[in-house]
Amino acid sequence: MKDSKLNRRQFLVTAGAGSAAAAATALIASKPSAPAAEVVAAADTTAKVKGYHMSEHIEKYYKTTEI
Amino acid sequence: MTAAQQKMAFETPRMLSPEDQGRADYYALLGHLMRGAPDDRLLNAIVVAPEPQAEVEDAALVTAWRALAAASSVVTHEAIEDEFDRLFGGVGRPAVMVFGSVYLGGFLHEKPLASLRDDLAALGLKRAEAVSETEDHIAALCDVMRFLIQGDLSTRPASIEQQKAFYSAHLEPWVQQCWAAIEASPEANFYKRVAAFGRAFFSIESEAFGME
Repeated sequence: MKDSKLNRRQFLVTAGAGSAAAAATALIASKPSAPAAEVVAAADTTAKVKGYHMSEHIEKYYKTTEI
Repeated sequence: MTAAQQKMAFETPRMLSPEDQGRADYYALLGHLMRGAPDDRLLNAIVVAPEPQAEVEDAALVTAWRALAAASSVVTHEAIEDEFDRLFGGVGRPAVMVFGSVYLGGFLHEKPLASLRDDLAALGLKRAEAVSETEDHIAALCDVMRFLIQGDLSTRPASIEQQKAFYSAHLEPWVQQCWAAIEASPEANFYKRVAAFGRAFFSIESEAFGME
């Protein structure tokens, strides 16, 4: 199991999926025509979690119970 | 741990590994591109972003990224908007359908959609009220994957097993067919490059999940 996780990570890096290419683009805001919609979460790989923004498609259920 | 370190640890609760951050970002980008025509800022960001770094020559993802960046440097938002409408929207049946249920259920859309809604509910997710597209829209599914990988300040990232279960049930069975349909459409120009990039990225996802 552990080996497969390592293989998986290595594979992602080898194939290029682990690089930061899309990081800058993921920061770009949502469409101006949809002011109520929020950006897909800020994806700054270098630091600072800026807080979660609801995307325009998905929001979390309001949690009414605690488990 | 010093107080400063503790504060830092609290403020950055989830430092994803670079490969998971990369995956989340690619899902975010593909979600944006498939939700609507990118604006000029996003196009510019694609042009100036560093290329993906792969450890093999001619990696499909890198090649596809270069083509996407090249296309992004010569098109305008207005041109892509027209293309987007012709491909995915407009009056009547769009040139290419980007809803999973269409591929999974033929004309029996309700069944795969119901199963998707059940799984989203189990994950504590639902569609935002302002959104008119159903949950099986490719952009919405990219959003879910990004959220599963990344989590948020009150939700832990989902395990790889959970990500894989969602991906295998709701994206993998049809998403490559969808990219292929976009690439083959005579209406597609910029979106041919988006689809080629999507195909390369999802191939990597499928192969990587297969390693679990």
